[in-house]
Amino acid sequence: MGSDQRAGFRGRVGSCVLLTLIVGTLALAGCGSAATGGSGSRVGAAAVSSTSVPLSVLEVDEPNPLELYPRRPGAQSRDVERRLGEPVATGAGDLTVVAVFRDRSPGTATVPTSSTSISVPNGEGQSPARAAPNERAFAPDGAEDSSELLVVVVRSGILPVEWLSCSLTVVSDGSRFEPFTTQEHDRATSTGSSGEGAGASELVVTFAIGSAQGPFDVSCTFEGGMAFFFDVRGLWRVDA
Amino acid sequence: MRRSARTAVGMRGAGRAMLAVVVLLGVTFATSSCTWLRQPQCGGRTMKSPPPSDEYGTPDEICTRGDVGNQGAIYRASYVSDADTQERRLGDPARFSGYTTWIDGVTLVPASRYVDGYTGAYVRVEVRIFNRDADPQSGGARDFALWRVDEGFRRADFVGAPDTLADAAELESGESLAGAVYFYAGDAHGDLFVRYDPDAGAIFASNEGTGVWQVIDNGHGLNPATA
Repeated sequence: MGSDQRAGFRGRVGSCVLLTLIVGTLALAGCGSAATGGSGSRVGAAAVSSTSVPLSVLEVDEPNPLELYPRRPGAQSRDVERRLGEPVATGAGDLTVVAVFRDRSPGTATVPTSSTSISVPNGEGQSPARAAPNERAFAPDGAEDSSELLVVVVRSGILPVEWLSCSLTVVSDGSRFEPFTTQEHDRATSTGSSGEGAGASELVVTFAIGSAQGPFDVSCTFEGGMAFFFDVRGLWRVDA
Repeated sequence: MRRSARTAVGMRGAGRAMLAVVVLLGVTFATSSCTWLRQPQCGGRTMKSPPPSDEYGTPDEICTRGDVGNQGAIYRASYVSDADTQERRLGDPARFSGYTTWIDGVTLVPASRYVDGYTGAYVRVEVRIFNRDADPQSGGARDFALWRVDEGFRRADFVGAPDTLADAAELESGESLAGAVYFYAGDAHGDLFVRYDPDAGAIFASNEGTGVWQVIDNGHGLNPATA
């Protein structure tokens, strides 16, 4: 094979193989859950639990850039715009912003989510910011100031949150903030036997926004190798 | 006894002859197959030499060989080329991975035309992608990125303009796709380049090629007449 022609595949072979494996695995899991009376699922919502994986997790929302939030800075063709609380179907489960709040004491925040609380220890267990290098260029940087934080909790239905990359854009001037800290949180370890949302994982992202004023656009996408298979970016507007 | 011994010897001889023929045929087949496999293929056919450049983008260009990289030949150290990078001037196509791709023009568009938040300008580049593979391939705005030495890469912006190139479209063999790709560049100072990388993210892509065009020269949009 020469250095030229056939690489035009664009990895379709790889895509097919991986997607087949994922679909097959999920289908088997779905069959298994059906046989044991697994929970039903509504379209676009991945009611993921440790005993059932509905096939609706394979759905992908159609991108709708500028439809909900016209004339906003930083839009991309792959954006799926949603209102806060609404999930984005990524093809590998839903992506949802489950909590957003401002906090003035970095490192001691207690994050209220729908069914559990997460204590964010002072530095311990936190990760440094994860930038999305191909998106950051040319946009003005937000003036990072940890005197005030915006804390965002993002839940991923299937894919681990360690593959997530989130950023914050100030709507009024397009300046961007990368995460100040991130912390992963496995809901399966904290929800006990109640079940709802178990199996999903959450990412607690803090942005050091200082005195920056909203509204803000929070965007999250899967980076690295996953970006080729699940190339959608969820975007939610926050009036914090 | 003597006759049957002769018969047995004769049969052994015939067997050896048949074996020799089979081995000879096998070696011939294997050799020809290896030779065939070594040659670049396109839809089961051996690739041809490219036609004259004025026939690029026509059926005569389908299943023709691509170009090799020319690292540093045009942009020296201004761009981070490697051995597989095809450095091109505006109006000249990059040819690799089954695509022939042009950037035909560049304009700076005030960001305020499309966005309330941004100041400065979008770089709008007019691109054309031709699929010269024998099979369908996908192509679109997602294959392009804007680059500046102190900023790194920025993928294409979506501004909602009616002439926007599709993000990813299926191109049949011999089909072309043309449109505009927008990149937010703020004040657009310095030298800006557009990279074309249709195999970015592909898991099993054997092609490492990229194409690059300088689109902004010290803050001014380049065009084929001035490039």
